Amino acid sequence: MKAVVWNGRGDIRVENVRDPEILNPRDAIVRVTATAICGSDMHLYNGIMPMLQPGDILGHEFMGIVEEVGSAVTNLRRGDRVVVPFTISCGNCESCLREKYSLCQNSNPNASIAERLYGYSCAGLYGYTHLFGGYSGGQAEFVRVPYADVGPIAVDSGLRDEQVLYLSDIFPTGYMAAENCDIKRGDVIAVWGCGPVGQFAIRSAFMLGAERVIAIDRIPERLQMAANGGATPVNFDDVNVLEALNELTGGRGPDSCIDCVGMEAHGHTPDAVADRVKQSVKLSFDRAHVLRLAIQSVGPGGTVSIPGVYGGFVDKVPMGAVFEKGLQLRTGQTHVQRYLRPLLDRIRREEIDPSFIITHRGSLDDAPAFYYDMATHADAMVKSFLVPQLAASGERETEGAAATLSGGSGRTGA
Amino acid sequence: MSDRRKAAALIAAGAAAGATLTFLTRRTRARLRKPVTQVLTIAAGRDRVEQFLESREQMNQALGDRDLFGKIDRLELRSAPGGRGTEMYLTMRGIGKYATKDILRRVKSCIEAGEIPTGKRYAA
Repeated sequence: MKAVVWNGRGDIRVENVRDPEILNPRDAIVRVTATAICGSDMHLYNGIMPMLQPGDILGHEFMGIVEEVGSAVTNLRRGDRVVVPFTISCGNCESCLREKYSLCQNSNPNASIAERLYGYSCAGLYGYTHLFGGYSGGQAEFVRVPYADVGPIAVDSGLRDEQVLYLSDIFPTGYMAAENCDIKRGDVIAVWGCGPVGQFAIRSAFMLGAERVIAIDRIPERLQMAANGGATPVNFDDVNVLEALNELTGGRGPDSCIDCVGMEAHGHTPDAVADRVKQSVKLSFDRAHVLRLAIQSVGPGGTVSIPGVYGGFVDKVPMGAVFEKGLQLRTGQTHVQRYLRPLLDRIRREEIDPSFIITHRGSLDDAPAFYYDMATHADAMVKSFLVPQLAASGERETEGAAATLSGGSGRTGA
Repeated sequence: MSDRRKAAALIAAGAAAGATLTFLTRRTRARLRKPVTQVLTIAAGRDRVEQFLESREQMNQALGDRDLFGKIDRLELRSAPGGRGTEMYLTMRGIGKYATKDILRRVKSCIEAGEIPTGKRYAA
């Protein structure tokens, strides 16, 4: 089968690899009908996350059709259409029973390595380094899905792949980030990073009752998309963000701040420059400029919610501000399984159509170019939608298919 | 620097490296010989854990290597507080703390999830 394979920093290729097979009784094999490149895949593309090996298959956002199930999977059948959460969870351990699925105690076969770095391990993740289990990812024609009786959710035929694919990660991630803010009517929320997770955090904050959402980024198309979702855009290239937030909140500061950027923050201040230098010489994984800004700018008693990925040790964190302002920091990988059904219901009720996020469509063969576009913010890339079978069937090359895809692998407009 | 001095420096460096290597090897061996105790909580009642431990076939699966049976020094079960399951203390000789913890993890996975996870890749 074809799969998107990491071969080194900035080196993504589409290669032929062996088909996956059932290895455990609770496994399933899914034929991927749609997949996407996540913002957090950029940390892999840029070679920042440790323990990725050449030849690893990437991708943790995917959905498809069940092709085969293991002997212990009784709730899925061949032919079922499913969306698969990016967190792999057994459903039986204490964390899973408490619905903290991303902290599953059984799904990471390399838990001892993660434990040495973090004290305790978190769940296994698809296509996200050997630190999180070394599971092959879903940017492929087929994928092995462990604990298939717990993770995947069956979706109705009435909904298009474009509408439900993002239940696998970015929609629940944005939603959990907003939910972590304990939003009350009238709250003002500041969101750093208007990439895919940021866009869903903005819309989720409104769904949960925020009065105003302030979106901070520097890429005009992303700020425009945020504004389309009702947010007040702030371009950090043009203004001092701390002053702008103070002014936009009547001097109170945002009630909560959401850091959707994580370990690759951009900035112009000395701390951002120092982070960049340290990261480039491998002295640090993380550039935490946004985290510092979020802590500094949030109002007293506020919450800083962190869905952006961090991997290692962050310095210069203003803990004085955390303590003196009595802040809460809430973070973690998303407990996707907890949100699948409620968010699917919101899509069914047409409260949100997640397909608004798609700016680029294509097949697996387009993945290397899309990775490049996403890493460099070229061609106004926000989110991709990849159909693995497209190139294989030759559909993309036909006029009709090109019309369906609004220009094949090209941009479809935000 | 004269050739004589160069040779002396090289010999000194080689001797220092050899001594360090010998020290590290001996220390590692000594550490491995010492019994190591690790603990994990299994989200299951004591009866179920005992039943698993008594099954030779299931324990073989969890240990992954029959020879490891002989390296078990002590195995103790305690009820975890708040009905959170069973704490399993395992003391093993000669394999170190990480390998000991991995055995506990495999036992935990077998009991809780019914299988041992694997991320075995299928890339080319």
